[in-house]
Amino acid sequence: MLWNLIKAETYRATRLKSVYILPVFLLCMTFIVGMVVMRMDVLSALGYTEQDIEELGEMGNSIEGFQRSFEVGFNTGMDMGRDAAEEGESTVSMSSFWGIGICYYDDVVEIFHQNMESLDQLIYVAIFAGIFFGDIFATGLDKNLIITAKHRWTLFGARIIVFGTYVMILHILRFLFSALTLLLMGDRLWWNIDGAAVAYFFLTYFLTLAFGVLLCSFCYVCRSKAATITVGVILASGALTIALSLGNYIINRAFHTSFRIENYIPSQNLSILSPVCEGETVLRSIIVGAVYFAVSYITALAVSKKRDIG
Amino acid sequence: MEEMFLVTDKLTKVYKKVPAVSNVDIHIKRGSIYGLIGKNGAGKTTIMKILAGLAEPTSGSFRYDGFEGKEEMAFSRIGALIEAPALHPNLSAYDNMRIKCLAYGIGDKNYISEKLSLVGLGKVGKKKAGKFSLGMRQRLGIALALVGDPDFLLLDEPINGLDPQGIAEMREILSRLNKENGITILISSHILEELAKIATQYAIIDKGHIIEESTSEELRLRCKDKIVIKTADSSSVLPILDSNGFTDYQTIDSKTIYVFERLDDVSLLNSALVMAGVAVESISVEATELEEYFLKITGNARTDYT
Repeated sequence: MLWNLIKAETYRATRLKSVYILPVFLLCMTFIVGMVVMRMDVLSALGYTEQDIEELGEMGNSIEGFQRSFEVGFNTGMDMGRDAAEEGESTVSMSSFWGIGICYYDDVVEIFHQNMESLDQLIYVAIFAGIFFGDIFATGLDKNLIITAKHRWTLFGARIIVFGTYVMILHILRFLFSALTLLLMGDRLWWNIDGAAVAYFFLTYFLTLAFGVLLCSFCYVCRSKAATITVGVILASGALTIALSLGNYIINRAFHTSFRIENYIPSQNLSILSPVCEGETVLRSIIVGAVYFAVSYITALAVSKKRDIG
Repeated sequence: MEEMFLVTDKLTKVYKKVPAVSNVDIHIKRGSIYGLIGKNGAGKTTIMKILAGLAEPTSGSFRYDGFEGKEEMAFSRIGALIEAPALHPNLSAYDNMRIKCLAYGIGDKNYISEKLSLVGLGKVGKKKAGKFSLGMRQRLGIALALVGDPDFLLLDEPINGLDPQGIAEMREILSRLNKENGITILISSHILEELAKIATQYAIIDKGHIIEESTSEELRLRCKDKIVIKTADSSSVLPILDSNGFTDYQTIDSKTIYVFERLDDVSLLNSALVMAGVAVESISVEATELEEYFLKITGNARTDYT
């Protein structure tokens, strides 16, 4: 029965227009991220001088990436001109926004990392989750599948498998699109795919899937396509940052700790992770992903089994 | 003795402390067309949902003959159209059917065409279900219910939205499925006269309770022709009926009495009443429609929705 249900759900998914539209947005966003990190001379654009960078460094600012970008921008001799200024001072004015960005010389794994860090992929996953699971309740689809009346876990499992497959397809596409942007905008197409890179690929997939299953669970509870997409987009867009900061502040004031709520949220873990992360960060991400996945899965399954259909 | 296909035992469903159905006992014979009659909110849909496994009963049980202890096997042999048809508005009739066919392990594409043709949707092409008329959606819902060639069909108000021709076609389809394919059908409808044309068993449900369960023959007897007497005071009529040997009669209200026997003696009865000084407003022979019988048995009460 599971295989039949997977085929039915796959067919249903392939009839959704969003399945084909979302990768187009993914491609566009990958190109935008690629332009920002590979072709935008950020520091020069912001008008920083070499002296500014040194001073910022002395003040304890973490500006390694910026400094590198700055050097790249300067060393390439872009269309920057030193304006006439008062004696002893010099300023840099930007005459071109484009140049060599911070990831111009990086490999495809780093470009993929920069893309995943932007978290926009979670928005596409949220939209797909809302439509894919929301349609079940909007149409009353399960009323047609009486064969699953005593096998709701099988039906739910089939849906999660199809959903997870699509999330994996988006993930693979993101990697391929990253390679394409590197080819078009970077120094050269190259990669350093070691164990850490592979682990990063699968761990980011797992966190993305956990985020998606969380939304699936929400959809099974509220039975609303619009509400699921709205919540998903809010969570994915980082709109809760202020609330999280406030939460951190209250907790840390109350308990005198350095607790950070975002460390225990899949989307935030996704932005923290990198291919060169330390073991503790990786382990925490695995645990967070596993806990969210398990709790969301069980909640959605319990709701689907307990509630009447239709 | 006829073989029972489905038997329920005190089925009860309570939603937020409000009982939707209480102690429902129905007995559906194999190969019958079982009509479930009731007002809106009487509990028909709840019973169907429970029998289709879409809702869990709060208490009570039901048993499909031949599937003891293995409800999941029975559920694989059930087709249902309960409330509105579950359709994807952005998909064609074919695609809607294909999803269910794949779930039921049916890969033959001709199978879909056959079922669509059976309900008169053989030529809808790629038109999206969202653009179907109400009647077309009902037809597609029935086609979906037929996927898997079920032994038992649950149809909740299946002729809703159909035009007279569509109703006649649907009646013919259901009769054919019942007679040629041996499908047992549980059907609810508020168009009682239509239901009367095909159903072989009935249950009348009101406020979640089964008031009466009968065969079509039994119901026909109850709806049989009768003498209707209207007077200022029905109690004054009763001694006259007794003295003239009438025994099968019923007082409907303070002014109306039904007499179910000796319909040819209406003149004699009229004379007897006049001679006894009873002021007869009218006396006539009438036939009771199913709807009238239904209203009478359910108390003709106004429905209060909660």
